[in-house]
Amino acid sequence: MILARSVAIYSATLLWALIFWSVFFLPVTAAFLLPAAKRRHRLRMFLLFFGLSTIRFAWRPFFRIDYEDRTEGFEGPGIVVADHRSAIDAFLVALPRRSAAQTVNGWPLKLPVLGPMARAAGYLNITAWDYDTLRARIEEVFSAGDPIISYPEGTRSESRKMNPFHSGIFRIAMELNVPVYMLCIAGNQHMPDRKFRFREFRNMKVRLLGPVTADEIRQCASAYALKMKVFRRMTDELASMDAELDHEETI
Amino acid sequence: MDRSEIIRTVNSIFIERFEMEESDLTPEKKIIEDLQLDSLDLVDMIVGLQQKFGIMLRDNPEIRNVRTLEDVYDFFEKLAGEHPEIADKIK
Repeated sequence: MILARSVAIYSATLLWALIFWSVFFLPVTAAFLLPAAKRRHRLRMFLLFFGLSTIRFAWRPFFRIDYEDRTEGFEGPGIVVADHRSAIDAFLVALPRRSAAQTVNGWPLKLPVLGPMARAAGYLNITAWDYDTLRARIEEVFSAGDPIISYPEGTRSESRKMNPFHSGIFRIAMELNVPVYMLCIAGNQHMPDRKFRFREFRNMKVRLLGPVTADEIRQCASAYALKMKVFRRMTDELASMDAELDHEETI
Repeated sequence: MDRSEIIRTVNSIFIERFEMEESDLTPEKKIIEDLQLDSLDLVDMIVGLQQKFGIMLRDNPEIRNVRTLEDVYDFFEKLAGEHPEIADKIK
C-alpha cells in the first residue's frame, strides 16, 4: 500500500512537472537572458506557479489542503518562518502566493531541473554560506521586494513536535528590521517520511500568521527572545490545527 | 561572593538578555536541550557573562564544558574563589 501510494503521487507529480516545464520552457529560457536581479525574481515566480499548480492539479486526487491567511495583508520584504515536518513543505510554502527565496540545505539544489532553477532563482544555501554571505544574499532578495522562507528547525521533524529553532534567521530579521510571518503546516508529518515514502494520505492545514512587526522585533532583547516568541506562537497554533484535523477525521 | 549572589548574577543574564522567566531557571536545566540556546545564543550568553562579571572568558577552556545552569554557577563560584576581585567588578 505504501508503495502504491508513493508511486501514484510521484507519477502524478512527475507528469505535472513535465507538462508545466514543457509549456513554460521558452519563457523560462528567456528569463535566463535577463539581468541577474530580474532573472532571479522571474524564476521565483515560475517556481511559485509550479508549486501552486502542483498542489492544485497533481495532488488534488490524493488529499485536501486548507489554506488560511490570518494576516492583514502580506506584502513587501519579510521573513516567513515555517515548521518543517516533511519535504512536501517546499511546495506548500507557495500557498501564500508570494514569489520568495527559500533557505535550503545543500541537497535540494542538486536535484535535476529544480536544483539549477532554484540556484538561478537565488535560493539560499544555508549549509554552504557563512552568516555574512547569507545576510547579503537575503538583502538582495528583499531589494527585489520578495520575502524569504526559512525553516528554523534546520531539518525535517517528521512529527507533530517542532525541533528547537536556530537563532540565525531571527538575528537577520532584527538586523534588517523586517517583519516575521509564521507559516504553520499541520497534517503532513509522514507525507512523505524521511525515506520519501508516503505512508498515508491525510488532509492538511496551512495557516499564515503574523506578523511579528518590525516594531515588536525592536523591543525584543535578543534574537533568542524573538525566536522563542515565534516558537511559542507556532507551537500553540500547530497544536490547535492538529486537534482540528483529528476532529475532522473522526467525523 | 557567595553562591546565591553568583546564581542571582548569572540568572540576571538569562532574564535580561533572553527574556526568560526566573521560575524556568532551575540548576538542572540543560542550556542547549532545555533552554534551547544554539551556538549563536551561546556567544550572546558568554558576552553577557563577560560584561556582567567584568572578565574575559573567551580563552578559558572550562567555559566550554558547561552543560547545565548548575555548571555555570559552579564555574563562576570556582572563578570567584580564585579571583576575589570579581565581586567588585559585577555590574
